[in-house]
Amino acid sequence: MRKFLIHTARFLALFSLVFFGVATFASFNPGLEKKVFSTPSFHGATSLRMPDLKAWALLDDGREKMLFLGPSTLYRGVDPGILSDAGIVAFNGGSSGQRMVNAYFLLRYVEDLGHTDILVLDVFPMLWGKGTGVESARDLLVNNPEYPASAFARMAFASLDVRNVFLAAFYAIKRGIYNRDAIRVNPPAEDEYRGNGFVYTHDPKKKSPTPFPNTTRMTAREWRFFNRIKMLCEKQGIKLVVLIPPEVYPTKYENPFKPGTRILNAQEAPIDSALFYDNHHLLGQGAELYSHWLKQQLSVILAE
Amino acid sequence: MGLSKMGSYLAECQADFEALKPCQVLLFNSLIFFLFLPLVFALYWSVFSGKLKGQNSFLLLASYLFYGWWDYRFLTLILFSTVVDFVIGIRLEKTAASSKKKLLLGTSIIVNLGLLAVFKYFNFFLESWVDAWAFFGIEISVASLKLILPVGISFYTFQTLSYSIDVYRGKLIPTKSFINFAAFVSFFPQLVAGPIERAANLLPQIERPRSFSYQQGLEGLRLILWGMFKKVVIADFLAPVVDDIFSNYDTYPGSVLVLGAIYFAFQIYCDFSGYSDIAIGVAKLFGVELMSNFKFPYFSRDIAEFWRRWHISLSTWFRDYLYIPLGGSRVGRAKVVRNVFIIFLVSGFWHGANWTFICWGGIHALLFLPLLLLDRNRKHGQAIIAEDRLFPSFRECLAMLGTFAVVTFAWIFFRADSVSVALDYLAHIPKGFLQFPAGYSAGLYYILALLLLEWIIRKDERNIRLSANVAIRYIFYTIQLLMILANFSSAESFIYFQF
Repeated sequence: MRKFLIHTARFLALFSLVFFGVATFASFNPGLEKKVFSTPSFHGATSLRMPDLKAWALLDDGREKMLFLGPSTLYRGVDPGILSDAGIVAFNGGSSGQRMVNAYFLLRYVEDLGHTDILVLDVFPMLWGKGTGVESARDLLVNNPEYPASAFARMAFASLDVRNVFLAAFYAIKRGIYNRDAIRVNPPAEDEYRGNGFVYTHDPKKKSPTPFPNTTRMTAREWRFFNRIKMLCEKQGIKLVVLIPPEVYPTKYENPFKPGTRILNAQEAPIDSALFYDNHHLLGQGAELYSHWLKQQLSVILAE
Repeated sequence: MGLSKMGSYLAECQADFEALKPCQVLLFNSLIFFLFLPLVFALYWSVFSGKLKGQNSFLLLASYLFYGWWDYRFLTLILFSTVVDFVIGIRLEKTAASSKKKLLLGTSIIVNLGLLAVFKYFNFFLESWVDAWAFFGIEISVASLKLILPVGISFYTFQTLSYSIDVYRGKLIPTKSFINFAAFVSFFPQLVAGPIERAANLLPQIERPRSFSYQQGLEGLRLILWGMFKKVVIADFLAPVVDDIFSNYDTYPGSVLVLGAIYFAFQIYCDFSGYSDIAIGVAKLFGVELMSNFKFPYFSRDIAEFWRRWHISLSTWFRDYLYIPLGGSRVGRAKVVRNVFIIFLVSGFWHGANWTFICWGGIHALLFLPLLLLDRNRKHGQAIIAEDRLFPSFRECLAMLGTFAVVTFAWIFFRADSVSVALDYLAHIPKGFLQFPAGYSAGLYYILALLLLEWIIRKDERNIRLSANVAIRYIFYTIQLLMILANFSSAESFIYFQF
């Protein structure tokens, strides 16, 4: 057994050295990075949003800080500029396919840097099914100039994906040791990053909205991470608001939230279907309307 | 680091570990399995080393955890099948009366095949019955059962069934230890997708003390690496291309359709043989030798040889427990034809409740039958092609290509959604057959690399040792591991889990 363990450890040590060598070359050679590791993408403006999120998290000017977390329905739907005023400063921390697990680690990241007063958590019911947050975790490793921060490394692990762990190791070397930046990718014509985490969606090819036929139910895993978010909010004194985003055909869901949870159901928001580009993503004009509606509703719900 | 800081760090780690709680099948290519395996391995050889009872109890616990990770409720099915065959085994040994023995064996067959019939085939029979009436213009409305197909049910029911049959035949002395028997049925490396083990091979290994062997451990790791390479690098690379071609076959030229069929032939081979290699490799780490399931089937020179090299554990199961009891080839010609068709059609049906699988089985029966009737089915025996030579002869190359072509033809039926789709796919092949399949040839490089490597190691499928030179081997393993990690998609499932 001893010989077996020594030989296995020897091979793993050799492999680590080779990996480090390849990672070093790839850190300075985008072509090799793309071939062996990953191809960076604009993917919801993560590369632009994350430095802004860091700056927002470090901000301490006495105003109340409101953080939005959630999937693409959020970063295309909520303009924090509209929600911010003299007393409040809001930020949209949405990312593609963001699930509870991703939101939890993003909140951890923000709390490691500073303090949040209000968390508005977009819990898009279509993302309550099986899944481990692989997509968003990968996006937050590959396209995020703020990685390596320990919260993202832990997110990679919690996404239960071998490739994400592999990527986490590479980007820890690239950005942590060699201080090389994320590859910037130009946004597609229809996506305009307007700061504060918000992406203004110009007219893309409209898709006809199709209703999701089933009633969704939150999986145990989603529920576990929702509870961890809730517990973290309680520990840090953050007011939590659960937001159900608007849709053309509202997804039916079994409500898992206990009485007493602040829930804002935007499925009831008066937004015309013409302002959506599919069933749940808002166009820029829709986002403006929605953000104004949200500002009004949040002031009511937070005053209660 | 202060104590309180360390405490909060540990609490965070524990909370992170909670994130790994069950949500999906514990795949060999998942992150959780990479944590599960070293942990079980370490405990097995440290805490329980040299203690047979402890090792087997621990193996059983680990196996149930492995299976229950997907859905703990279905553990009751395994447990039920285990208890039934354990009790039947003991009763069979104590019973002298032939009629009582037959009754006991019948009970085992009914219980195990009953589980399969309910969970796997019920809706198929129901729908076929409704379709049959509809053919005569009579509409019948019946509600189908919404049943989840329990992962691995086709594998462990066959395993327990073979135990009862062997005890009935007097070929096996039943075990008196329930723990040992349950560990045999649920042995986690092969629980969900085989190889379908025989009690005569696996049970004695479970019942004797196991000690760690350096050589066996090393072979195990090599097989795990090789299996993972086939699955992650080749099968998962080909999978989306195959899906695209088979979904949109009516928009592609014939050359792409041919390529699609070839890619599927390698996808299913790399997927399933990759799983088997990992299973055999993992078992080796625990001091257990599982039977070989694949022996480089695409180097076969005829269809009979192909079936001695493809999914060996299933084909020999059907041979021993179905074909031979029916009389095998030692009966009249008409009965031989009947037996061959039965075994191949049942084999097709075993893969799933769909006419496509039955058709696939039927095609193989038609291909195999002439060889059997002309007594040429044992022409190549167990010997691998070009055993003592570096290259095959021209004749052997032609034979291999011919066999691969007919096997690939049959795979079209296996992969298609329905028989009519398969026929339509075939009908589209002549259109644009000579057009160069631009943009679809990348998979061929992977296939050529695989064939080259397999050719080098073709003499021993259980010991993937590319060269006697340590440096070359280390380079090979390092490249393999790097390619595996670089190509990992998000834990793609294994095709054979659905069967």
